[in-house]
Amino acid sequence: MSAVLLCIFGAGVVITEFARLLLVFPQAGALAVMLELPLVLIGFALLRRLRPTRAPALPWSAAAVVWGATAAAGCALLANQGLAGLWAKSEGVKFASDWSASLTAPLNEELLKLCGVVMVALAAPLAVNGPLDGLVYGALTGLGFQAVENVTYALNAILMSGGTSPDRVVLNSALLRVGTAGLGSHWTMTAVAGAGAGYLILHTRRRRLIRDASRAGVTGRQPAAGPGYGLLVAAAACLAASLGMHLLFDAPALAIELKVAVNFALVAIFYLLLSTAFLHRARESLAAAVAAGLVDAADAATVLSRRRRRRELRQVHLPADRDKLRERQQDILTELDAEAA
Amino acid sequence: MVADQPRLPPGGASPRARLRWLLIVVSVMVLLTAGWPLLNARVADSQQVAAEAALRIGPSGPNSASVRVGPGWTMRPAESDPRQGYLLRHGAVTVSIGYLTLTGTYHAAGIWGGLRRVFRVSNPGIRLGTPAAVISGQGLAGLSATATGARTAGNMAAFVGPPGTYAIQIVVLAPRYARQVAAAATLLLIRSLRFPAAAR
Repeated sequence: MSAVLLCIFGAGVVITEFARLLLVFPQAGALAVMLELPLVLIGFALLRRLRPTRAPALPWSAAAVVWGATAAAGCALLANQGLAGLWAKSEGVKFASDWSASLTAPLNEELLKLCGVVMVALAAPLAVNGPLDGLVYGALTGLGFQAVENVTYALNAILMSGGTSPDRVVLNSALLRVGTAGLGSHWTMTAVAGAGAGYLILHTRRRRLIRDASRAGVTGRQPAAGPGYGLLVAAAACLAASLGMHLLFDAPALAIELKVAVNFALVAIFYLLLSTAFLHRARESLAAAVAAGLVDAADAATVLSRRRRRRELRQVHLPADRDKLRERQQDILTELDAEAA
Repeated sequence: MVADQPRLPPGGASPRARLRWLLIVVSVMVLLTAGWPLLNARVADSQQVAAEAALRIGPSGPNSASVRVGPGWTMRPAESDPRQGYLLRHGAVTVSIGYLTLTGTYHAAGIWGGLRRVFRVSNPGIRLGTPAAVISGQGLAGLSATATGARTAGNMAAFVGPPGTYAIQIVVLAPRYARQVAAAATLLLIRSLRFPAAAR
């Protein structure tokens, strides 16, 4: 409920801020929104594919995008205006002109977007099991934010060009923001911050496991890694990295292509490390389950691959049997998601 | 899935922990969204502009412009940026000077229609009159028109920089009783406007 209210508030702020501009330049405004739709749709589909075994739940994926586009974007407008004003008043307009964006946006925007990942984890505890889930939901939140920010940049560009050729200005802005900067923008930063939230959630769950086990007097095998501080350090490092990526992205006097390349490379390497480790743990878990007779070897051979699961489902002709198999596949994957997170 | 291994709880913290996290999230949102603006509102948004100081507008180099104001002018730093423009005050007069990056090569007459629409966005309820030709202190031709609202009066002037790819927009507004002061301020700014590219 509080998430919905915050989304409504954020959307209200964005709409109020640009309502007059949209009334005076309706065609360019509509164009600015339309030009972001492909980014949102393609980005949404691609980012959901980042989870190695199966896509995250559609409603929560959409919720993450909506949070980024409304609650985070709207609140960021107000927060950024406030902090940027303070920089200009305390350090002077020259300093603020050069550094205000890089000292304001990372702090405000990364935290506001990260709140979306935490909200998803609170609303759907099974959705975020670890850093990889956090990375995907973070990327989706960042995508929503990025799309709305692109629209606001395009609309501001109309004003800054004196209203001359508003459609062309909007098109140029979209080409720059999507074509040039899109690959290394908000989705990369929030993906890293989201992974941090995933580490934090993993830490909480492991701590709870140990606490529950000690309360119940269980003396059996402990999980491979205790909570310790490793996961907390990883969470903090991810948040710091996302702030650093954002600072770099907004820093003056650096080529945008370099900033984009650095952010994209960082998130790509991080994702490859996380997904490889996830798949490794999932295979180990699956092998142990097969050895214990909990999972069929045939199911284990197909369950980690989307394509193999689909092929196996196609080979079952009776709809009822197909549904049963699908259900079994999903049950195994749910277990694996929790164990390999 | 593995029988002899203690299993992680299936996601989700206890209801108490969830409530705690929800409070943390809401607090962060409120703190950032309301905290910075409130703090900003408590710090005075006014800075004295040195008399005869040149205020540079736009990127450094030839594609910029500058204006000079006399004594008694203040700047609102939170709304000013040397690259994009300034918000200045002198008594009851408020001046907004903006740097516009044009999407082609224009003369002042070619951008007036767009400027009129932009003016409507930032100044609802204030009408612009018919533009008339004006000459800057540097001898460049521009356009100026009166601005009239229910309680406000003033002028808007626009000058396109020598390459034709950027422009300076000056909006001077004051309460209706200070219409003459606004007109004098407009004249002062138009006379002091300099384009480095035109001086070459």
